[in-house]
Amino acid sequence: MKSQTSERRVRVLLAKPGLDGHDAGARFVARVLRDAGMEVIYMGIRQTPEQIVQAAVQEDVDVIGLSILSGAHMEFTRRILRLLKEEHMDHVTVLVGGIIPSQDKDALRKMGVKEVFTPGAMPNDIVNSITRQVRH
Amino acid sequence: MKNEDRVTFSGTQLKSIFNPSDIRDQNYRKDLNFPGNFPYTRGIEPKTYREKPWVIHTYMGFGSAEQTNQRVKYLLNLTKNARDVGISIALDLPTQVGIDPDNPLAIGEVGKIGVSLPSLRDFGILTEGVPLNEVGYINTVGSSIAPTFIAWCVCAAKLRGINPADMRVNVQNDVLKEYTARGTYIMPPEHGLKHSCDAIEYCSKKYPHWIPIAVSGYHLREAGAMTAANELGLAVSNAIAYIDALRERGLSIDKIAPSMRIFMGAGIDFLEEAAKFRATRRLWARLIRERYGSRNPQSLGLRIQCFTHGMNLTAQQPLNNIARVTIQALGAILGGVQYLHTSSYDEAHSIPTEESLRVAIRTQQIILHETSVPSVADPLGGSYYIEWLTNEIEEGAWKIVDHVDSLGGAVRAMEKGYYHRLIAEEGYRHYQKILNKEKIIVGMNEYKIDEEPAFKIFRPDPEVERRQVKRVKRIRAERDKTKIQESLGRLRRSAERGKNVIPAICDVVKADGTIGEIYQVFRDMYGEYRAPNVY
Repeated sequence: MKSQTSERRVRVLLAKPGLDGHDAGARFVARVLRDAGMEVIYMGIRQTPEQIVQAAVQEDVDVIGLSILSGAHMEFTRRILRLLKEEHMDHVTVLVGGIIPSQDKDALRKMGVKEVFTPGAMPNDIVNSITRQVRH
Repeated sequence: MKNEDRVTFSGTQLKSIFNPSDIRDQNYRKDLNFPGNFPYTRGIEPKTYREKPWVIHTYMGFGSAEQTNQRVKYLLNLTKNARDVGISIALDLPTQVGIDPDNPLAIGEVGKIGVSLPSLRDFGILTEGVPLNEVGYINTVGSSIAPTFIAWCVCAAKLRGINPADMRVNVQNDVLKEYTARGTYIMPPEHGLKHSCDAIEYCSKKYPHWIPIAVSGYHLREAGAMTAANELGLAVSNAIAYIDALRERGLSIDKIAPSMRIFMGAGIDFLEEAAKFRATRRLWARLIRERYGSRNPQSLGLRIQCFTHGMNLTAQQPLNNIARVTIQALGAILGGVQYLHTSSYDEAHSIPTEESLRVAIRTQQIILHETSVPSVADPLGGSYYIEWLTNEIEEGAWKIVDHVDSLGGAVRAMEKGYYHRLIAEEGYRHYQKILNKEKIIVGMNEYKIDEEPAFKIFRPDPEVERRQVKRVKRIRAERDKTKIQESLGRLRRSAERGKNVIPAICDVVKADGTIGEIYQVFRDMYGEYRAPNVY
């Protein structure tokens, strides 16, 4: 599918860090973003922070979306943001989706995550958020 | 919603009334028969729950073995008789995928969604003071590591002077669904299948009253195979793969089938679900008799394990989930299941608090004691609608079974991407319907409230990981180095020769070998599986 404009399509890397295998949500978001005209690289489950950041560098993505349901969101996100900084990739927009208690949402945002999506978030909100972030 | 669009949760079109003409071809003896008689549509026991109430199960586990041990004792105090309860141990993800707490891949995951159990010592602490030979069932999912869980049970019982034959152990041990729906696989499917079959073979020979497998439709449905017929059809296709692999080892169908269970979800559309459980028993009985030639009632009468569907519960307005779980549980009991787990209302947020766990158990006790539903066998039997729906679901499931057969069986069908595609497509369609409000989910896409009030969620202890890392290192330092090396060598040789690996795993766990060490042996031999990413 060719993009209508000469603008580069937004490139999004989606991954599930850690050991959890429940990826119905991540696969759904992958398809929604693809249908919205973005280029989606879905890495799948069981990814380490190192693998995710390495893929982000290689694929030169604009956005990293992390899907985390296991409760390990603080640990993984912290490591991924640190590794991105080390790779001088901290311009990449990082989004987190999953089961995130509300107190942790603020902590993730302070850490540098641009947006946190929890159950009930609408796909359009995710698409719009990415479009907004990347344009800035 | 327009009248012609009235459908079940699975999308089956519904008329506004069903009549005798809708089940014109039904033959009572052939298609229904009395409970306890082939094809078991109406139940496996002549008097169903009067003879044996269902087992109330609850899934729990978090943090360290010490913490889960406390929770197990709390649960046992909520019931009158330990025999009535099944204790399902939720394992943390490192344990489920066979790595130790100090493996870098385990960082952040230790003790989070279940208990961290890297060794026999941890298992001993977990079950300390628990009457192992009295509780209804000791149960776990452990689909990729079932032989190790069985080895822990056997060795822990012996250490306490309990005869393992006096225990009842139940492992879900359905590795095939991990490759397509749940994701805690370790080795490639053919080797995973062999490992699961080792557990079934070992138990059917040594502890025939244990339940070494519950083939799961539940997870396939949660992952996206949304219809009742697909849930049943895919689960039965997986069951056929285990049966065929075990028959190749020389086990007869009547050694295999009696120890098998099916693990199904109980969804919100409870009449359809009750029909599904009826269709499940009938399809199974016909399959085992027609394809495998069994005449043994123990093989033909399938016992159903059931878990209320998490996918129907919402994160929004969580107390509404108490109503949903009640409806789901009622469908399961109307359908005649043997084992029921009710989810807690905080399911979408965290593992349960003591309060939410109590409500889940009380829900089942209310159905058991305050209604007369369990007093009559197959209370919905004979309803034109239910009988018609039972036929529809069975027919749909046979189509899936036949299709998987035509692809060369479950493992080949997985390799060809059939399961992954079906799950991705059907799941996507389902979520689209929720988004465009073709399906209304109360509190989620309609009847929303602006401010969700804060409510108490359970937080695992952040110190657990550090303590578990310390403990596993201490275990490795304290044990007899020669003994552990020898036992790991024996495990490798046993696997290389294609033997049943459980006796060798028993030696490793007795030598204080860890789960990470056991599965490193298999990873070295077969590599680690990578699932295709279909969306």
